[in-house]
Amino acid sequence: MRRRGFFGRIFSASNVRWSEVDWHVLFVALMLLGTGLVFLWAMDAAEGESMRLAGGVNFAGHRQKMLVTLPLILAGMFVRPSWLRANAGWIYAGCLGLLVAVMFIGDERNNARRWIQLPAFDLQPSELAKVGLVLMLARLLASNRLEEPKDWIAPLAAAGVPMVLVAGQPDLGTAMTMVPVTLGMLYLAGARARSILGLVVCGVVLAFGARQAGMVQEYQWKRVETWAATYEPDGLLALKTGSGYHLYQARTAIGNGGAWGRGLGQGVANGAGHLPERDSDSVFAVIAEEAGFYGAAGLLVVYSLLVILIMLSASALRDRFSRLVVGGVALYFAAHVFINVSTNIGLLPMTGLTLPLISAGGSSLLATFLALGLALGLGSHHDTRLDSDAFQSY
Amino acid sequence: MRRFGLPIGLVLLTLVLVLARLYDVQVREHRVWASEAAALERSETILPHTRGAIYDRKGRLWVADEVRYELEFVWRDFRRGHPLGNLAALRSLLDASPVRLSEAAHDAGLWAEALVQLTPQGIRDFAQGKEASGGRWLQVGALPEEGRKERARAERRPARAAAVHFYLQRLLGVTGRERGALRQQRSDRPDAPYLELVARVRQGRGELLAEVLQRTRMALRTRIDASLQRLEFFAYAVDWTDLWDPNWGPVKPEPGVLLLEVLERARREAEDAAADRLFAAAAGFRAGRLSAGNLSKLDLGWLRRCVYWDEPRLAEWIVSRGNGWVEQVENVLAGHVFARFKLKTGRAPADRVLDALAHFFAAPEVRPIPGLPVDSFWESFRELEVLEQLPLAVRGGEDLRAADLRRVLPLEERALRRSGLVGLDLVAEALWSMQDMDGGPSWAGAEAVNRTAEELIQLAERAGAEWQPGELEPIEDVLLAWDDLLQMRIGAVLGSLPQPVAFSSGRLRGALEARNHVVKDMDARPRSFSREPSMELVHLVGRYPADFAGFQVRSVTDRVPVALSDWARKVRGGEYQEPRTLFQEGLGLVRSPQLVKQLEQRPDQIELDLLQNKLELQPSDERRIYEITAETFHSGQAVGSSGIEGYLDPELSGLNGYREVMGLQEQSSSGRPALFRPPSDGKPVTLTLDTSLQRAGEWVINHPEPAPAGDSRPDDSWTENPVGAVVLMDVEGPILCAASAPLEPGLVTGGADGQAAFVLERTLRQPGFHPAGSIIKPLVAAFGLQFLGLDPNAPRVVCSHYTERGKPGWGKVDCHSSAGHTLQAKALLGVADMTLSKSMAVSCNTYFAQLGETLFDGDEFHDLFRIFGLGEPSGVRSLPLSDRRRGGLREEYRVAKNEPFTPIDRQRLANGLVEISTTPVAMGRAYCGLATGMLPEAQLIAKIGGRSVLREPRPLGIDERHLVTVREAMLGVTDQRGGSAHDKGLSEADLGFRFVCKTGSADYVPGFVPPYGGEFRRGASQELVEGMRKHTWVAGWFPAEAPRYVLVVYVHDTATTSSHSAVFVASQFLREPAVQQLMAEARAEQAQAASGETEQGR
Repeated sequence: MRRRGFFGRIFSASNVRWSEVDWHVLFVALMLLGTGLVFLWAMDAAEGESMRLAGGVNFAGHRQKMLVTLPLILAGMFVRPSWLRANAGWIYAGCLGLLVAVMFIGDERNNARRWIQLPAFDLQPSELAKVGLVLMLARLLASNRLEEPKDWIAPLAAAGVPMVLVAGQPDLGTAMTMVPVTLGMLYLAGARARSILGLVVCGVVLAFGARQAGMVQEYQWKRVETWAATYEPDGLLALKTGSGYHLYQARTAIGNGGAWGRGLGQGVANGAGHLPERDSDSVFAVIAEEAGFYGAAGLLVVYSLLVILIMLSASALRDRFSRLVVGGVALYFAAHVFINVSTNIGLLPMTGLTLPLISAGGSSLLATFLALGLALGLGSHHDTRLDSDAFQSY
Repeated sequence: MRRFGLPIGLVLLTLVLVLARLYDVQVREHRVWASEAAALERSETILPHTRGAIYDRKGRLWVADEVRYELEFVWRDFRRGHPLGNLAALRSLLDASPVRLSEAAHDAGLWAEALVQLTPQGIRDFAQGKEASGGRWLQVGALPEEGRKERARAERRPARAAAVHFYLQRLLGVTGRERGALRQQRSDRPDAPYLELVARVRQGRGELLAEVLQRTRMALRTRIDASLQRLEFFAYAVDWTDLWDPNWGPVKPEPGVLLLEVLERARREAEDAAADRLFAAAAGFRAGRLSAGNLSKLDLGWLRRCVYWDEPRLAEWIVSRGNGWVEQVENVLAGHVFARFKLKTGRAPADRVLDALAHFFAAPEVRPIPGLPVDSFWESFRELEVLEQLPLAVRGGEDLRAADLRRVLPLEERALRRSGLVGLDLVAEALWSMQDMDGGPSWAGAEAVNRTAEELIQLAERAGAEWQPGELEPIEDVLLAWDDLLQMRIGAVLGSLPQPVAFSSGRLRGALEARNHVVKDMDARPRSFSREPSMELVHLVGRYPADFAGFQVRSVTDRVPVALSDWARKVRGGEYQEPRTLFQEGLGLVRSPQLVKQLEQRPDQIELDLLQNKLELQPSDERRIYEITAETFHSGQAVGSSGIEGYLDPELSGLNGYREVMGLQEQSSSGRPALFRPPSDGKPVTLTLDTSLQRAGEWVINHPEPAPAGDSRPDDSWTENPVGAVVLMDVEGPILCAASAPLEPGLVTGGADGQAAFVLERTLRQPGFHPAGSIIKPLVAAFGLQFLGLDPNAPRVVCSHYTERGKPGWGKVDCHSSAGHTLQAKALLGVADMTLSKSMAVSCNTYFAQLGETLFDGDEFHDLFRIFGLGEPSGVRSLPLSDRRRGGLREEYRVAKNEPFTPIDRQRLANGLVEISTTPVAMGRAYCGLATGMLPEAQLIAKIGGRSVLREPRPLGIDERHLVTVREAMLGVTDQRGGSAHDKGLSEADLGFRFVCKTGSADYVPGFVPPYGGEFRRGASQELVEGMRKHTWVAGWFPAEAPRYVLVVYVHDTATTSSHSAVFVASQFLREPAVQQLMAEARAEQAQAASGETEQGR
């Protein structure tokens, strides 16, 4: 028997069942990717020279990052499930290592230390950590049906560690996206809905207690206060030049779109250039403005379709680990999309989070492509046999 | 599907929720956000109007708005774009202390060599707190090993390291294209010096590295040398006259050194401003609100690290900010308080006083907006700015007791609020209650308190929005005393906390988050460098912006006087006259809008903001926007404050225009059309003044020739320091020349009243009592002939006796001739021979004293004044204009007492010695009436906006035959031997035309004069005795045969009479080429008219 090399032990193109790959998922994902490219191109084209010099949207840079990270879809697809299951802990540990490393070697920007400089782009380890968490939880929950209270300890601890590290960067928004992913995967693994609900209630009580004990930073609480005060237009208008600045710019752009939108590249978000992070965290505001309610709603429906297609793909998997990974990826997409959109439209407090497949940003693309590849690759391994060693054949 | 149903359901539910909210925002709230978006993409500009120009009667420009250039300096651009700025910034980053530009310039080459030896690894080590080295010239020490990483982070070393990369690239001139390759080199060769990395990037195929390295090094050296040479050249092109402040040092350094000093100061200003903002972000109030002592109690290490200062620099900042309140009180705040006294005029003055004082101690969010109706402020005043913020701002602040934070100012006393006191009592009580407080002011004795309270109330009650020097002292006293109270309480509060008092982590985090933005913002603000740069500088900066990074040119509009005095003539001593603005005091000045007016516009500005944000505008909204913007003061706007600029401000000022620019207007389906209305410029104003005549008048009255050598009583001290005026009028009223002296203030003079120290427009004003003297005699005569049956030919014996002073005279009036004209005649001839013509020629006082007493009754002098327009406005301010209240051009006239005059009054009145105080313009107007039989209105403005505003004269009401009698009598003044202006240079032979005039002298104030009857002797010292100093006049018209122009000369405060002073000034003026030219033109016109009549006759 021929001995496999290092990459051979991890990847194998021949094991992908091409006929069973969910091409619908890939098609929808590419559709979203294309949408992102079009809007980012329009943003770049709409910028004046002065805005560009001041560090505006860089379509060429985004395209370059995309070309660099796109192969990760294939990497995700070709990875051997058995290797993945066996090494999920190491991957997770690697992600935690990066999260720790960023505390020491990371670039400090705006008083946050979240990035490690790479030649092609700056790596944000917290993005990778979300994928790592999905793999780790799948690994832990593959043989754990959460029947006893002690069964909860390991998965909750596995989720808690990266959340604390990310929150300490500080990046509370990214940390919070891990919550729905974790809760969702716990449910998929067999936890009762009531237990999950209880966990949520406990979380809320703990958060309240932390606030009372002064453990929540003033600026973090201020975001919550700002959000509560700015739900209605009058409140937001009153704070538009203060703590509600970003919210105001996003809401103005979205509201300005109306039912039918203002046309590609014609939004005030692009024209005036006041909307912060309009190519990344606030890209939805730009799309909603230029495509209008119907366009934005269409985009959300497509995203929901992507999530549901991945979930359906997961649900058809016999292997518990694969099912949880693919289900986790669906939750990852759902959490990102709905948190991102909700912050922009005022349903949640403002936090920095990218819109998968659309936002610019190398780390986001990297993590998204990797997750998508895993969903496509693992999702193609449907097995009709009912024994738990089905993976042995790959 | 097991277990996936619920998540899918939740996804769908969330989708529905999100879509519902999206519908809310995008469809239901669309109008709100579309309106906001329209406002975001719309830029509004108030288009400033151009103020109307001012021309002379022939259309020659006198004053106009002129665009000029101003040179500005932007520290951020210099720091990033100029090699010297790069070097200073690099060293400051590495040393964490502000390295001076002069230091950087001194060792620029060596520093640059050392800095480019830094390696990426070295910079990384530096970021981690280790040492960094660039050879002998650059050694940055390592931080202590213990807790090095934390210390490095606290010292912002990682951020500083990132900036070092940036500035090294700037210093080496790395282009955008080279940057990517350099990044690769940095990661490939972390131990190679920066210079080598850049050289490798630039290395072409086949080139040796050593060659490229040498080339890059040379390029760096050349770049630095060239930039320093350019700066030196630039410095020599700057006019340092106004830029050099002697306080900077005893010796004015070389321009190059001076330039670096000025740039260094701009940099310090930028750094100070950034530190101010960061402190305010952390503290919630400005640093200037704390005394230096209280500031020192705070832990400000974080601030020092944020702006890369060392301890001495931080200490400097603390001292400057700690004294900030005192300086602000003196320079700004007292004025602001005074301005606030004038707002909310519906409130009682005492309440306005307390409101205004409370305003500056209140937290900004509770301060009322000026101009908006607020019933009470001080009564509800609760929150002291600093004490309100301290619990939130400092660590441990939450534990402060409420009692520590209340009752600092008297205003907060409950007893005062409930006292029911009003007016003076209220303010006095507010000040008095300070006595009971710790640290109450030492000046607050009962008497001082009452006086201060009274002065404050008076300031609030007084009309007028401007103040005099020293007038604001009571406001300053109270502000400083209250601040003392506040500082004592703050000191006690801070003293109760662990020292040094740290800021709360939340606030500090907010300030640190804002750090980059604040520093960028403050560094990027332009600071004025030179208000009047030479065109050479403007060209250099405009044409070669890269070579002069940091400098920029902007255009500003100034009000510029174009017509200047005669600079081509030499004054005494052979010096040339410094050119001055013609008719300077009469034209007046422009200034910035008053603070009160600006504050009063705040409600309009708030209304404008609301209107601008509306999605749809009603026609009434549009009108209102135009209305508000038309009169909103814009930055740099000038308003007339005095003279014609002030008087005609409504006409000279235009209306601002308004323009909205909609970035995406064409594509927008929502929003409203952009508004545009062009500015409406101010109207041009044409004066009646004539440039040449005005120039001549100003020259003559300011540089009068000494009296001729043979004159018996010259007053040379007056000719050396003249005070007076010359007026030349067209007989129909337009003033052609209105010249005053002096034009320079503060000259020491021999005058009695010190008027030579004041620059005034003296043709329309009368500082002190200005009796007309004998130039009133022709008016008395004309009135007597018309109404009182005066027989001009009847001889009169008028010197009836010797007066108390032993001189011949009538009643209380002496004959000015020591022998007495009629007594002499009677003694010699046995008859009295003083007729009107004779009396007029010699200006016989007693003849007119007798006329006054015997012909006039108690009221008839009032009629005389009315007929000749004395004691009433001359007409210069009587234009048919809008009703708007007007300031500016000032005219003074005194109305005689409204009761019958006594016989003695009448003796003197007929000689112009009492009651009637007048101006040169008023007398000129009366003489126009005498010369033509029509009394005109004196006029300075011929046209406004191209439309004539000249008015027609009115009949005098005196028969022409009587006027002819008087005119003929006046001919003797110059023509008859013994006439008061005979042989004084006013004859037809002297002038080339016949000038009809009357002289006049009137006692003014006691002072030193030559002994009575004595003579001045030139060149010999002379004992002066106490006597009466005089005003002297000459008033007359020319040409005699067909009067066209009236001349009035006024000499103020002289020791001699008109015949020895004013007459010579009149002669000098009438001999001026401009007057001769005027007469030539008059003759030509006359000849043309005559030939026209002849033609018609044929």
